Amino acid sequence: MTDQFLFRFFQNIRSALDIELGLGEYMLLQEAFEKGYDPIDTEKVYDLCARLWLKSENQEEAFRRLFEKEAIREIQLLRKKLQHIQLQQQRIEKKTPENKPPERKERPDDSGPDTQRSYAERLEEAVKEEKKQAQYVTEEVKIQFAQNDQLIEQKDHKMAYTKQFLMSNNYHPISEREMKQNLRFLRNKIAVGESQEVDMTATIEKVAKKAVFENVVFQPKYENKLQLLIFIDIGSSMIAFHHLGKQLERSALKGGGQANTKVYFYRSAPEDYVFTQRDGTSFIKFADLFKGLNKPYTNALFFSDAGAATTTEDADRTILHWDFIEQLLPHLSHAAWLNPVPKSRWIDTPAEMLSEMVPMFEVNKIGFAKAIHVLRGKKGIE
Amino acid sequence: MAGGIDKAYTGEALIKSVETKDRFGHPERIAPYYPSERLVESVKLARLLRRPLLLKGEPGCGKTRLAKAVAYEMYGDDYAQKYFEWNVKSTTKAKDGLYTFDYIQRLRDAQLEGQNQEIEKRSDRPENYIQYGELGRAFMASKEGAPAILLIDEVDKADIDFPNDLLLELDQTRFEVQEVKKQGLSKVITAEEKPIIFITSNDERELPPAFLRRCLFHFIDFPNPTIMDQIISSNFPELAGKVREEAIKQFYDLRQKMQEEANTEKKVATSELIDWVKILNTFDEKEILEKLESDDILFNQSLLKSKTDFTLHAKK
Repeated sequence: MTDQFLFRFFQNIRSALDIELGLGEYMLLQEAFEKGYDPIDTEKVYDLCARLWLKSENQEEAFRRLFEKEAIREIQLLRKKLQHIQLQQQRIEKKTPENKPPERKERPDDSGPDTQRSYAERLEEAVKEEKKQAQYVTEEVKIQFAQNDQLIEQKDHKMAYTKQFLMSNNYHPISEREMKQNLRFLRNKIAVGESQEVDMTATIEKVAKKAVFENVVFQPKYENKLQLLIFIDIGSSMIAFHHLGKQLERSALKGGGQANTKVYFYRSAPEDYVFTQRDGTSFIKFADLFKGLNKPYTNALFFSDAGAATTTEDADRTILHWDFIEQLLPHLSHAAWLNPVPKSRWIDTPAEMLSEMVPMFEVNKIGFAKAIHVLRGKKGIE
Repeated sequence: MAGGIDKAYTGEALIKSVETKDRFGHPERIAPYYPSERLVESVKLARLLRRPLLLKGEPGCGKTRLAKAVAYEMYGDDYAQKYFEWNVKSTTKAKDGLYTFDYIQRLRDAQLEGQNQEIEKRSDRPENYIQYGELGRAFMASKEGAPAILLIDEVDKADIDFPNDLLLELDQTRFEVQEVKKQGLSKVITAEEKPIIFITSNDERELPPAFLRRCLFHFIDFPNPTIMDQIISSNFPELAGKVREEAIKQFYDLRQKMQEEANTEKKVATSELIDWVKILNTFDEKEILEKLESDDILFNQSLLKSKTDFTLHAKK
C-alpha cells in the first residue's frame, strides 16, 4: 500500500532542487517504512525525507515548500485510508467477537512503531480486511472518522503555515552547482619541482637499468597555475541579474577547482580602474592589474549585459567597454563573455559588436558550458 | 564485548564526562555530549539504513564529537577497539585510508636479500609491508552484530576527487590489497558488517553529487542556551551558578551582535566559550561577577580572534 508513496514528490524534489538522487534513494524511504517508520505522521515523514534526500541546509526552504504543496496531501490520503480501515475493524471486532483473529488482541496502539510487523504488512492486511468487510460501515463510523480528520487537518494546516516566505533564488537558468561543476574543468596543471611521492614505475625501471638500488625517483609535483579573472558588471542595467552575478562569484571562489580566482566589479563600463569589492570601496587601476598577470595562464570571464538590457544606446559606454577589453585582451590567454540577456536581444546593441571581440554566450546551462569550453582553449564550437 | 548494534543510541551515556582509556590504553577523559532529539533520530536512521551520515554545521556545534559519543554509548569502556578516526588533510588520498604499502622498504629488502635471514624472511611475504589506514582498520574491526564506528573528519579539506574515490569502498565495504596476491588474485578485506560512518564537512568546498547521493544529511544547529548551560556546568561543575549564567548570557549577547554585524569575521562558538569560562573560573565568585559588569568584554582574547572583530565587538 505504501508502493509509490511520495514518489511524485521525490521526482519533483529531484528536478526542482537539482539534487542527484537515484531510485536507490527513493527505496531508502520504503526501507525506513518497512523498518518501522511511521508513514502517516507529517512531521516525522518530513524529517525522514529531509535526512534522506537533502544534501545542504540551503535547500531546506524550497524542500519545505514542495513538501507542503505535494507530500502533505498524499500523507493525509494514506492516513485517511488507514484510519478508515482501522475504524471498520474496530466496528467489526465489536460486532463479531467470535470471529476475531487472535493476533488482533496484541496489536499495539498507534503511539509507537510496530516492532513486530511493519506498516507495509499491516496496511496490506488491512486492505484485504477492508474489501471483505466493506458492508459493515455504519453512520457512527463515518461521524467518528470525520471528527478525526478535522483534528488532523488542523495540525497539518499549522505545519503548512509555519513558514510563509521562500527566500530562495533557485529560479536561475543555471544552478550554482552546475556553475561549480563547469568551473572545475578549468585546470592547468604544471609540474613544479618534486613532491614527496615516489614514482614506483620510474624507480623500478631505474633499478632494473643500473642493477642496483641507488635512490628513488620522486613524482613531479603539480600545481594549478591557471588564473581566472572574473569581471562582473554591477551597473544599473544589471540590477535584475544581481543574484545571478553573486552566484557566479560564489561558485568561482568556493567551487573547489580553482586555486587562483579573482573577482572584479565595474559599473556599466570601466574607465581606468575596476573595483575589487562589490560595494565599490576599493579599486585597482588597470596598470596595476595588468602588471600581475601571467599571460599563458590567465583567463577572463566577463559577466555583463554589454548594453543589451537597455534600449538607449550610449556611445560613450560602448567605447569605454571596447577600450577596456582591447587593453585587457593582450594579457589574456583566453576570454569569454556571459550575457544574462537572451541572444535575440543582442542585435543592434553594443553586445553585438562586443561579441565579435570576445566569444559571448547566454547564461544558461549550454551557454555556460560553452564559455568554459572557450576558456579551456577549445574554439570552434558554435 | 558489551553493547553492539541492538543497543539504541539515546544520547544519554555522556551526560557527565567519563574517564576511560584510549586505543593505546592511555587514560582519556571524554567530555559530555548533548545531542538534540533530531540528531539522535538521524543517528538511528543512519544505523537503520546503513548509510554514512554527513554532518554539517558551524564550527563548535559538535560535529566531530558525535561519532565518539555514539561509539562510547554503544561499547562503553571498550569503545576504543571499535572507534576509528580518519582526519582528512589537504594531501590525503582515498587509498591512504585503506592501506599503504611500504615500497621503499620492500625495494631495499629485495636488494639486501641473501645477506640477512631476517630480511629474507620478511621480504618473502608482501603482507609485512602493508600498513592499514583507519578505514581499512574499521572494516576489519567491524564484526557481525558489533559494527565499528568510523569518523571521516573534514572530508572537504582533501582534493575534489577524494570523496568520489571512496564511493566503491563505502558502498561495498570491501577493498583489494593489490600488492598481496594469492594465485593471481588480490587479497580482499571485507567488513563483516557495514561500519557506522560519520562524515563531517565545513563546506569549504562542494562535495560531488555522487558522493552526496549516498549520504544521509544532518545540519547540526548551534546549541541553545539551555543546552549550553548543561555543557558548561558539566565541564565546570565547581563554577558558581551566577557566574555561569552571566557568562552564558554575555556569550549569547555577543553572538547575536556578531550575527547582526555583517563584517564579523568569526563568530564565537562553544570552544571559545569554554576557554573563556576557564579563565573566569580562576577568579573568586564575587570578584569575577563585579568584573563581568564592566562595559568591555572581559578577557576578550579568548573570544575575539581578529582585529576587525576586536574593533567591532570589544565593547558590549
